[in-house]
Amino acid sequence: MVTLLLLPLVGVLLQIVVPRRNSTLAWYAALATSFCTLLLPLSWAASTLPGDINLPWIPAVGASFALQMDGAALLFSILTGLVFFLAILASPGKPATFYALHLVMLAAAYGFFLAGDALLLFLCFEAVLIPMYFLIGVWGSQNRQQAAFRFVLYTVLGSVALLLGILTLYLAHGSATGNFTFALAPLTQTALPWRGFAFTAIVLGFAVKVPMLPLHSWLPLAHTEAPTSGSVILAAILLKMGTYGLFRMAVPLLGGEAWSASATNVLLWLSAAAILYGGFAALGQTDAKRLVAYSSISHLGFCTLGLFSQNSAALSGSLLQQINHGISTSLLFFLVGFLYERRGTRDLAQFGGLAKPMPRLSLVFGIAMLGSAGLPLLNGFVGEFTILRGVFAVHPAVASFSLLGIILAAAYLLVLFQKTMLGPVTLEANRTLPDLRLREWLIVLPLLGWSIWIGISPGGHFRLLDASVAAVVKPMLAGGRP
Amino acid sequence: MDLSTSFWLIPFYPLVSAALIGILRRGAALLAPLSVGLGFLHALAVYFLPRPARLEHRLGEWIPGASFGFLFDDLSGLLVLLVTGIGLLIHLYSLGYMGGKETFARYFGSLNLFVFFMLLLVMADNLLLLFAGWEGVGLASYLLIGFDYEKPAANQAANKAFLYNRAGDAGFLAGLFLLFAQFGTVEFAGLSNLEASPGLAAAGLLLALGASGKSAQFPLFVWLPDAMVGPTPVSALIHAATMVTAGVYLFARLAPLYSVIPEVGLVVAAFGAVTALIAATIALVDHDIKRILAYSTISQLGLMFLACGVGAPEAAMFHVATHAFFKALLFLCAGNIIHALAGEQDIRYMGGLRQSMPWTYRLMGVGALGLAGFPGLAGFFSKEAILHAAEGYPLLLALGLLVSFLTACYSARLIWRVFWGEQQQPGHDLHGWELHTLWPLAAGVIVVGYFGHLSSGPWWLLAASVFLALAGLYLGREMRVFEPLQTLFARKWFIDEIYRALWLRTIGYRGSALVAGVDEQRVGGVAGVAGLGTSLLSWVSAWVDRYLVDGLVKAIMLITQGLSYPFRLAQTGGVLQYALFALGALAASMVYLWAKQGEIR
Repeated sequence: MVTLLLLPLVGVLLQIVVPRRNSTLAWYAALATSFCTLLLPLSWAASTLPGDINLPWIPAVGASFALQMDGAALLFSILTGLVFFLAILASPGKPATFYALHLVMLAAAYGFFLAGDALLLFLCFEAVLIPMYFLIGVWGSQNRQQAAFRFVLYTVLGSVALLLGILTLYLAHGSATGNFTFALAPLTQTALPWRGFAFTAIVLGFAVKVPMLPLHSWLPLAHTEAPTSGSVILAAILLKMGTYGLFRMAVPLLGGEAWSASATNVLLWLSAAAILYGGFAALGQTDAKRLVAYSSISHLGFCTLGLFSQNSAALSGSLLQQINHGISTSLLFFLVGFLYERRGTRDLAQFGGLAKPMPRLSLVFGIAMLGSAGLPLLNGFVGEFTILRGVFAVHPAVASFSLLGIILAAAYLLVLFQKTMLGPVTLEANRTLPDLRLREWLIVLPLLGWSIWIGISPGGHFRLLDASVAAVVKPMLAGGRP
Repeated sequence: MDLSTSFWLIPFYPLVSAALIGILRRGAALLAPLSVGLGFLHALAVYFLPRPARLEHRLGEWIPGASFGFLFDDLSGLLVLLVTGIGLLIHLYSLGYMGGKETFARYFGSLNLFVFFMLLLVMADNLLLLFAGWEGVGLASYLLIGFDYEKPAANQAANKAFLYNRAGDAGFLAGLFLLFAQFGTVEFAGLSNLEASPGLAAAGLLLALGASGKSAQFPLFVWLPDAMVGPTPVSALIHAATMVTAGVYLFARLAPLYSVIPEVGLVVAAFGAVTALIAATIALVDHDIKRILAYSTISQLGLMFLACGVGAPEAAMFHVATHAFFKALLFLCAGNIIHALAGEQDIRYMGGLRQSMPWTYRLMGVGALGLAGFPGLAGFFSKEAILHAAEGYPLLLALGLLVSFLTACYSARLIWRVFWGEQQQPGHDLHGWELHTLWPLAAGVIVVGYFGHLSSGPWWLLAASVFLALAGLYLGREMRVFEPLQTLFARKWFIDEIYRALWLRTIGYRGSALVAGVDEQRVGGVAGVAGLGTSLLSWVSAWVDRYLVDGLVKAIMLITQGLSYPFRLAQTGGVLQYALFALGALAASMVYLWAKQGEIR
């Protein structure tokens, strides 16, 4: 597993060695690196999962370089590898620094998803921030400075809260048991004083990244201003760090204690509100990327809804829905990016009737849209259905409220599709746009294939996720019985 | 594997064909009808060869709790036959009707996709897989309503259809979750022999909401008339004969569930009756030939819902079967008229086509008589069965009879306006697929009624419906509606206007613009406010720092200064004076000690 983290860093070195002028070579090197890292988790999926790794790191404080692999981590690793590979594939002709930043983020993302140590997890969480700041700030569009600044401001705020939460758990565990350690399992699974406080701080930290409702205002701006690969990675991987972090660190803290019921109630209603609020805001957008960004807020509302429902079916559904969101939203961002490359704008009023010049792109766009809108036999439905069914069993009111979100999702996606693809071609510039090219097909096909696979046969994915969920739910229930 | 155990292959013929058409982008004209024809032959064999009452096959798991399980019994068999049989005729009809060969691939691909999803819907052995087909036919309907995607009206109608269906589907899903929560299963086999409970009643109502979306019932019926912008064969197949009857199929399939909650059934019946009446009155005054037929479809579906609600799903299914024949026939005849008149759809500009389109006249006449419930034709028997089922509910029965009368009225009006009177535009009979695919449908309208369960209603009910059908046919030809009612009917009871104001303008446009604006300015402004707050805080802390913290330090300094003032006075710098102080102090302490000693002693 260490290879998984080292490979991208070797790739960074390659980027430094590559001759300055030759950006094609740099692109090839980055592609090769990210493809190799993708092969590793794929090979594990085909054979068996590797065992845990636990190397001493800072023994003085009890931090170790611990990596753990389970079903959820495997799926998120595959998503990470695939999305980074495709994002690099979508951005040829950029300077070596651009690719190097991507590879640094790739290593950090793998580290985050595999981390078995709270300090390592925090470090990787932070390590993604800086490259993304430069990616938005340097290669973004008009308002990139403001977007990058706001992104960093919000995320740092979250990081402070997260660090506070981790340290609280660390100190509480250390003083209660005498064993000062940052290992995730004992920190999250031991009954400790100050648990409620730590939970609040950790939720606050990750909620900024998800983003949950009142903390979301960095997202539309960052998504809109980032370059295509940045938007894709932001949506598919960085937001998932928020939800995945909640799953690894916050959800296990929930249990029978008095605060946990009221805390989850608040968080469930916030999630439901995010579903509707994001949906309404998406419906009112005129910029294609902004629309997709708000739809992310709505979809991630479903994910957090499942996370805080304390129902194992809904938890599995939530993890799957996180993968689904990674697939569908990156597909949509890629497609909007293809349009942006052709036309230099994302304003919906500048499109219309594109199904005529580019029937294939509009077909792929349609499938991506339907997957995102939750049409049965595509990926989104499986996740949303499993979440809502689980939540309905425990909180019917919240679930019914959230159900309205699926009507909204259909509404804003149909509007997006109609305004870009359907209707008469109104602008001359749109009449001769080229259809999908080979490289673009290579980008969309793996995502489409995965989306249909999950939609028709999600059983294998659920088996992978159920094991991880059981590991979280069991101690949670045990904690409920003092 | 023989024909009956491989029954689950039936949906996959059109699916494979749709995929092939999508990939090859040619050969659609051959592949599409061929695949549906194969499905029809296979279904015929399974239906009529000896088989167990219930064929089942499980292909594999899908979502935990539901599998790809297929089911073939008399109920789904009937619908499979209807879907593939009428589907085949309409595929063939389309070969003539959809002139432009360059759109064949998209058209037949979507149509095949529709047939696949519809077959999935009627052959699923659990509610969740049924729901997959349910949403899938909605998608196919969206694609086909918006087939002419360069026309904004078509796109809007397609969106409207999809969204009203989605609203119903949200209810369907909620019902599904309730069933899951209470019984842990949504397989049809597990949903019989249930105990009545408030939860079950709620689930029944929610599923009925889903059914009212798909089957265009009040309050969600407004999408169907707009859907008529789609190609006419699509209107015939999807929006008359098959997809819109999915709600009725749902009630029939869940009959064991609804039989224990008759109160919910009555609600369904009441909504059905009201829908039937509203739609029939609109059909009486509309001028667009396809919209008249669409409102007629809504009205007939209302009668079917009425039957389902009063616990007679078999009567409803009988009407589904007969309705499929005469309504498909009517729509396809309307398509021929529209073609012959170069796209004209307004019946005010038609008339006298009896001479120039004699075959179309005869065929459409048969269809209209079937719809009107002319004694001896298919519609008569099935409508009779519904009225018989409603016998115990006087109000519902009265509404049913009124709707039967109105049905005969608008059927007569339609034929009269189009084929009689003065000729406005010359027409001509069409030939080839567009004419010859109509014969089997017309034959069906004449004979299908004798295959159903002939109802054994009382003589007065039979007499009443014969009388109402004939009276309606006679009066309907030149019927005028009173003025205030005319406006109400022509404006479609203002329901569309109210919905547009409520959903589209208020919630859709204003609501979303408001939220988007608020988010940009206010919540986005939170960052600004936070920035402002930070600078305010820094100003405050600067003030505190300057006046309080510094002030404290200064105050301590001042106090120290003040206290030290008297001592400073003494520090004059004169050495002699210091010596005097020292002597004085020494003397004073000695006196003190001396006095103290005395005291102790």
